[in-house]
Amino acid sequence: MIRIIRSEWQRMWARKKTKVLLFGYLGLLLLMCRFLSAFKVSFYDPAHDVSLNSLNTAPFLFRELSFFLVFILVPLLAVDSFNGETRSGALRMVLIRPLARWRILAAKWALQAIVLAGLLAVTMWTGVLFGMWVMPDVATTSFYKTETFGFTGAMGYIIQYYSLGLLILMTVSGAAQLISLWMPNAVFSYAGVIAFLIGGIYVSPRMEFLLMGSDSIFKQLAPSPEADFIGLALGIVTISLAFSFLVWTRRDFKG
Amino acid sequence: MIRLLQAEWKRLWKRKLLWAIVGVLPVAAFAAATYYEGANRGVSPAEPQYAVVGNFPVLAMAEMLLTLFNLIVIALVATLWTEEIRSGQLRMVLLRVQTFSRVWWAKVGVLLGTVALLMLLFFGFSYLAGYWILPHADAYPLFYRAEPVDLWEGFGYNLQYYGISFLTLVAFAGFLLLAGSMCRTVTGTLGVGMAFLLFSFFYPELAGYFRPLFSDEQFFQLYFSSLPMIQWEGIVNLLADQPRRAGWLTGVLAGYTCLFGIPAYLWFSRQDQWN
Repeated sequence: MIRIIRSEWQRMWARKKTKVLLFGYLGLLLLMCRFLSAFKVSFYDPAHDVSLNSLNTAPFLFRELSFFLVFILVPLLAVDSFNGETRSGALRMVLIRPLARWRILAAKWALQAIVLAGLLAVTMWTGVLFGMWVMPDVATTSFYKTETFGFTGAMGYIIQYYSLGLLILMTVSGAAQLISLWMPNAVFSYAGVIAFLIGGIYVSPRMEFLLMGSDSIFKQLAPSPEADFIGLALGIVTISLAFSFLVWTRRDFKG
Repeated sequence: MIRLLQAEWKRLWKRKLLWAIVGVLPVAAFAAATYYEGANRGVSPAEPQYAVVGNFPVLAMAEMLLTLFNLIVIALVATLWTEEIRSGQLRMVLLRVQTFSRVWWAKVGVLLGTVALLMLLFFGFSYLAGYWILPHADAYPLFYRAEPVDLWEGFGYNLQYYGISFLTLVAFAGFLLLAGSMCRTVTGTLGVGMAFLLFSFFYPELAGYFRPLFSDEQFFQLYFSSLPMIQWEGIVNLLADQPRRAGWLTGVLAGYTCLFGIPAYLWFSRQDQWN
């Protein structure tokens, strides 16, 4: 299994786009740090602004970057991993080997999860360290409607925040994978993902967590949660994984 | 050349993608109409934002130009250029006695014709949706205009609005053509197009924070150097009684079209597309 994941990993890095996307993301991350250090103010949502300090800065990096992640990076990684490989014939080379289909799919899932978790871990630690170096020093801080935290409490909150961020990205990624398995044409699948992201709001306001990720996480982590998307997100992930599994194991990749 | 255009046109309209887009248009028009019906409750009928049959095509287009139509242009460019090179369909065309530059012009013609056709369809659908869902008014006010207009004058205004919207899409297509010719993959083209849109949304916002550093003139020019912002606020400004700095807006549109379109043409016609 480790080997299959490694082979996925190598194929992912063989695409120039992946490098551009991931290094572009790191560049944006530094740009955001520069941006936040200039203003030292950010927002929980359009109605609540917050002045940044050495303990509460980390979540706001994700807030500013979530649009890029949700609209560009995550869908493109997923679409490339499924559509791109089918189209370029790279997938055939893998399927030639006597491996169970579900293992390859599991490897793809694992890789997406590892990459996204890695990206968010880098973002989080950048935020934490950057806050300590650049922002005004404080001993205690509070977040959206929470009680006052010391250093460990703030770290705990930040880790919870980023875990929920990972859940949101995995939801987008799961939906993107399912859509790209259904539609062999990359243009179609990408448009489908965007339609899923934007159209969700028209269906139900509860789908806002995909677009307004950060605002929803803050509301979710408030003492009396004003938003509740964990169940819905897990539901979407489970459904898309189950359907992807069904499509993937029955699909004929020779065409 | 006519034959080549016909071939391109048929190849494009043979795709499910096009019919899916055509299917989305009425849905988008009706979704926007129901949205505006709800939004009308908070607006007085004397405001230009108040949606009636006559001004709804413009309001709907203002909603959908930024999102749906930009996406449609991205999808069409990715399909016509990148996808055809990748899948080897272009070879079939070039087996005939055709040059790259003729193929390119045929593709551009088909792209613009398709976008124009889709806009006309949307125009019709939005009148239909407005007729069914929204209130009917004999005369209504327009943005930046002193006099209210009746349905017939409003129809002329709407046509002008759609014409300028079309020009903004042409400018965006110019950028995409360069991206699509240089990125050899479909996902790359889609990603660059999306990144361009997000970036163009983002930097005028960012400039808003630094407002004190600019003179009004500079800020206006910076703000309206972004294509989505022109689509968002620039078009009504161009159609006002007294357009402000119309030269800058048209200059930016022409600049996007030429600055990106010409290198795209050179790139496509000089580059070897066989490998």
